[in-house]
Amino acid sequence: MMALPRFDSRLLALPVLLALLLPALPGFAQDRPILPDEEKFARPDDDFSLRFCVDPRDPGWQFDQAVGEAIADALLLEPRVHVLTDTANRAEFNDIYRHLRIDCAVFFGFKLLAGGYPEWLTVTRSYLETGYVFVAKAPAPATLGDIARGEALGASVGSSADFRLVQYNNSLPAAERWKRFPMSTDELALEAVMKDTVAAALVWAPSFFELSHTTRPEFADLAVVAPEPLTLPPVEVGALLLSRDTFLRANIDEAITALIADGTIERLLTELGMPGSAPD
Amino acid sequence: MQKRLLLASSALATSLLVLSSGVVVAQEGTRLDSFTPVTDDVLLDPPDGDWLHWRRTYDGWGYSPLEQINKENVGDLTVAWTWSLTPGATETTPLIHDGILYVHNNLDKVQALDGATGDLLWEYVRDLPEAVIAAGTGNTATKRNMAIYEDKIILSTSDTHIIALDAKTGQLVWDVQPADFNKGWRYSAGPLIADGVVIQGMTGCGNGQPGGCFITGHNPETGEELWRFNTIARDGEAGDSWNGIPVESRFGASVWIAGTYDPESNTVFSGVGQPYPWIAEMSGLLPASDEEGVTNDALYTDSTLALDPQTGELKWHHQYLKNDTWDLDYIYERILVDLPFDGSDRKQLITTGKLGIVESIDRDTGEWLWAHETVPQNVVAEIDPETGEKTINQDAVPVIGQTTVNCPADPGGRGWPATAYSPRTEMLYLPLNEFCSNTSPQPLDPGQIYTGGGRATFARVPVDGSDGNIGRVDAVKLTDQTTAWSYRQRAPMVSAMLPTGGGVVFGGDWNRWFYAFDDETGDVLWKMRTNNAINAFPVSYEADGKQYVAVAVGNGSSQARSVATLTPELVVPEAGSVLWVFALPDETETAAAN
Repeated sequence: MMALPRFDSRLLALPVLLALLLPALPGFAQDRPILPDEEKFARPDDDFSLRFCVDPRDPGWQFDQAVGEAIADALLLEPRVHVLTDTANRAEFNDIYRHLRIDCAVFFGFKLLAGGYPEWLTVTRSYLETGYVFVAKAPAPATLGDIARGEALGASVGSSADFRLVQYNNSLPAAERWKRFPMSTDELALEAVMKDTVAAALVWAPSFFELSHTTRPEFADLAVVAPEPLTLPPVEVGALLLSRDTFLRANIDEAITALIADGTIERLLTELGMPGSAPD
Repeated sequence: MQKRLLLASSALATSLLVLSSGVVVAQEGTRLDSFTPVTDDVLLDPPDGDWLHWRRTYDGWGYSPLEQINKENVGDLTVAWTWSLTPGATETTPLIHDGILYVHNNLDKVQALDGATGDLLWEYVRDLPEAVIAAGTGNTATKRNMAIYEDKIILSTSDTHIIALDAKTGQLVWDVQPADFNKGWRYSAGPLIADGVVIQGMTGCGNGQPGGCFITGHNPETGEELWRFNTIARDGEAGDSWNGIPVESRFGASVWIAGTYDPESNTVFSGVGQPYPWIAEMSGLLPASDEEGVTNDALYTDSTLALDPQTGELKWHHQYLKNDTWDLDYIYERILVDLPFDGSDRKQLITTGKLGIVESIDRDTGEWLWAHETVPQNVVAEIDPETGEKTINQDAVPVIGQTTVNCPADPGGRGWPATAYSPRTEMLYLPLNEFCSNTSPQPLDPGQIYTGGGRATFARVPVDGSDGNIGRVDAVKLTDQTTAWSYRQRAPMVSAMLPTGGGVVFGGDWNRWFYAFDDETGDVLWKMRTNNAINAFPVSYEADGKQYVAVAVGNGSSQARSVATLTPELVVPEAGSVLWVFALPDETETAAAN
């Protein structure tokens, strides 16, 4: 694909585009979340702005914000970022619905998992390729395969990478398996490594980076272990919109494509130290 | 003094004084004046016209002995009054004492109403944190029951507190917080008062809560926590039943339904929910460890716990479903009956899990007695008639990367709407639904915080060969464990059942119909269409010598909405939660008295 100069990659000014969003498609799927008070949430007039959400509970939120601002810039829109102040340590899709009705039209920082989203949500193309890593105490084994079978591995429970670990491990004869201890968070999985409860932990790479550089500097002593013989494909990250916002999504997709092509995404990754790369 | 002067004015005595705390001050010269304290003795033997426990009596029957409304006149039943409730999931059970009806609204608004007229007597509005409000008005914001003790209404709240309100004024008496809602802990059921102790189960114990859930006991005068029982077995407790994984890797065992109480043995019986995440490959419970002494039963999930109410000490437990990988809880009401079995009188504890299998155990020992299947299910291939041990159909076990079929689906052949027992007929009445699930395990991590309710995609489908009927009410004769009658229809049945001394059984459906069935035949004797899904616990009570039947309606519970995906043509309003109260017309009532 031909790379576009950054300025040229700016797309149409979009007041018209955003105005088209206002008359929403008739009705939602019956299984969308219920907000009994949703009649109070008139959709704001976006004018010349791009209202987007980022979530500080996500270790990549500052990168997400930078990407959102760059997309707004490319679309000749004023970026209006809504930084979530939610405090719960877990949230459900219903919360996303509320934010997309009240706070923003686009919500950055979601993994593009097949079948991972309900019909009332749609996803943009990816703007980041990152993934999960195994982490162990130094001197770390070179690969996962170097960790003795029967040793325990910790994994943030239920991630797509954890699924791969489960499927691979369970395909082995019982005597050749590792133990697998599900952990509720990346931080607890890394703590389990520090405490020798597990030989290695399978965690989201941006979490490992962020914790090591902020609240848990001791994690910086841990080392990444190559996943072989397991294959851990990269995980693509994009943004969510309500399904009805197809026109906006199409324009954001084009903007992301342009930002990848002109090197903006790679530059932001470097500036913020975010582990990962720009998608192809 | 100012308040006294205000209330002395006859003109103003009929108005309500709203304080900044959100409490509407009670009026004088109302039914509140005749409020009498609810003592331990009253709780043990409630007046026929009261509804003092979640299921009216300690034995969990959910039965009203009132008989003014009966088979002969129920056809005349009409609306006495209605009262709009806060929109949102409405799974409430009103409490009634001395003709005062106390009702919990979504997002923890509590109201005292005159049971005869529906007049508001007081109102408590909880000042909830913004994060709780933002979390929505679904299951987290509704509470299935409250408790009444002495002069207090005691309830759990959506910000994970337990509070006591003055039953005569609605003023807050005490407020304690056993856990932090930010970490996912939450309450969806209310407390049980047993032997003078407030007993409350905790739910929301998913992967944010290493080590799982718990039950707490509290001082009813102060709220002080007296004891805490962890519903996930710790290392060295009851053997290693968690497949060798450490405590911090064990999740689930929520307690989201109130217990029952046997005063004779001074024992509280509580159900416990399933392990989490539901898919056993994810929770670490599969593949099974081959280490000696290690099992993957996952105690005390899907069990009955027999607890000492004063200490929380576990007397015994009985587990119904080991290593539940379908979200098929055995959490629901425990019904205590003394009936013969196998030639001898037995003190039975009867419960029905989501599988729709009615099971009885001896409530003094935990010994398994019998089982009776209702809705189609394919998870349990066989039940040992001596021990109750279940053989699992391995084809129904979810596997990562595959789609498997399990019946019933995760909302259950029966959900939280409670079964009920009538001593008139010695029958158990069950609200049931027939459906299955094409189950595909799904990663939890679409967003780093947003689990999306993942764990698995449950594509709910009708039972193979279904005639299109989803909803069902069964009457099971407990003396011989046979089905006496079965009523089936298209609309899912989503309310609890209410049998009465008048020989009628009330229950409601997703399609807004509220029914009165003949308790012996299942014939529909009366029905009325309401404004929304009937997805709560009907009760019956007496005020000024008149019998009333009350039920809250409203949309928003995940149980009802999930099962209703099977009947997409039956659409109900999204808002419109209302308390409906029915009674006989005065002339019919007079005739019944004669």
